Amino acid sequence: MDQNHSTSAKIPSGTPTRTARTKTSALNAWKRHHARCLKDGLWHLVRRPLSAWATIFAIAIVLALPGFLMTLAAQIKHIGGAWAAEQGQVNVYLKTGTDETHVKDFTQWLQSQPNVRSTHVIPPEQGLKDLARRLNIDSLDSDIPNPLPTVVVLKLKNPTDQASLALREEIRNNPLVENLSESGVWVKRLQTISQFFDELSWWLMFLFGFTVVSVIGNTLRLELQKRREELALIALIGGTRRYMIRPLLYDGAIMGLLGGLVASGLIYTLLTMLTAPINQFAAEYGTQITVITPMMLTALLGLIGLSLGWLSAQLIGRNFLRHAVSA
Amino acid sequence: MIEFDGVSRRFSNGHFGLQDVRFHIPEGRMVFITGHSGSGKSTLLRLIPALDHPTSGTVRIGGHDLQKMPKHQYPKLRRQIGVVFQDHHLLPDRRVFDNVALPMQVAGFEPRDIRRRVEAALDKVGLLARQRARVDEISGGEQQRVNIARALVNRPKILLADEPTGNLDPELSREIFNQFADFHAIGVTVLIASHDLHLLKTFAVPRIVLNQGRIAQIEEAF
Repeated sequence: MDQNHSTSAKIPSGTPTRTARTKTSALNAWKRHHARCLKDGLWHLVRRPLSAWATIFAIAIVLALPGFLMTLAAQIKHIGGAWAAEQGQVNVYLKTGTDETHVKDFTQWLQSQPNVRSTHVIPPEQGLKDLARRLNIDSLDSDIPNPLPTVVVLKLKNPTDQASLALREEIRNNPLVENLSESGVWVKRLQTISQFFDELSWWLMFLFGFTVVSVIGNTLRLELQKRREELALIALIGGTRRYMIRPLLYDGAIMGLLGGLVASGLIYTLLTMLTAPINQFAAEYGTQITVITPMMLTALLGLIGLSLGWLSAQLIGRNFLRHAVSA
Repeated sequence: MIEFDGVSRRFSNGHFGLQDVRFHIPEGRMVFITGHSGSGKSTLLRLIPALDHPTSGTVRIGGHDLQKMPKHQYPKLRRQIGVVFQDHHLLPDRRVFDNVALPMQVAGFEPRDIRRRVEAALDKVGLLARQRARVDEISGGEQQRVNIARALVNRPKILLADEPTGNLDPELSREIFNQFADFHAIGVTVLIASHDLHLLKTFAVPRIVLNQGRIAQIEEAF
């Protein structure tokens, strides 16, 4: 019968038989699959441009808002820093009648502080002469005792940092000191505002991160629905979960990365548009904003986008495979 | 090679797909699984590559108890099993060559080995000349032969076929059965589920007859 037919069948050379496989190393196969997934991921941008780029722009807009706030916070710091640098000179008015020994001790103590660049003492007599010169008066000598205090002109190295603010406070509390020309309160306020923007943008980035994960996840979920049969087939012929999920990881990471890059482009454009009005404001504080290519911002947003895309693909892919494919 | 020991599969609706099924198929044998539609043939075949799991009983493949096998070892098991479906399960938007190459790509073979073996497999099923055609451009019979080439390209130890000739005319059905017999002849263990008794009777092959999930009869000792 047909059983005889089968036993006498001749299998041509090269036909599948159970001989040893010429399988290359797992590493080569792994690298080859990664390369193919990358190529396919990039090809999707061309093959399905509308859905891919719509997702990329949605990600970009979501990432751009916190990114813009971060950049704004950095500019506030910049303006604040420039303004505060002007305030780096602090006039310390000592109490009237402070004797020279105390003045000397106080000046020496100031010079020993790491944040102090220089000190210059203006004794009351010198102050009176300067005042007379400004008023174009030959002499202000009179029988009335000199009412001017000794003034120590102090120049700080980093007027905006915390140590300088603490030093101001310490000087103000010194019993020899009557008053300071600048207390650092505006510097403190600027720092608080800048810190607030900084923290707000990070919180927004965290919050909007979930939005990015959802946006990418939804796109990938639709892609998975289309590929459901293919994935079921791959599972049947021995594809591992990692093998099945890898193309998805590349799709997610590429969309996230491009979303981050487009977001940095949006921020750059927005900043360029706002340069003129911001510079008018900044000029009042003796500084200006320089809109440069935000390399750090581009790298940061690109990295954040890539990570969120990858995370989204992991979550969606694993969940889909668990429920839809017998992998 | 394939051992079912008191295997039952009960679905969530309470219906039994299989009930207390016991048999042992030694390595290199060819066996037909037959029975009416809904008798449990497909359920039985799905348990072998661990696409489904029994509610009770034990399925052993090559001595390995599938219930005790860790999930991460399923892909390795499945690479040793070729499966031919009635409805092909081909990727319609890809070329014939790509469909047949898929199991080898998944297993991580070198591209030159893939080309050599895919062409040999297509030659064996008479489709070498059609390797560049898209699957949705070829006939149903050709699609089934692509399905067979894909099941065999990885040189499986076990070949499962679920109603492989369901959509084909008698002449083509017989040709496909002959191809299965060829692979049996070189040592592949072959299980074919079919309700086409007329065709099955033309082959001197043991038959497991299922009825409502139970083994009704085993024809010819094996």
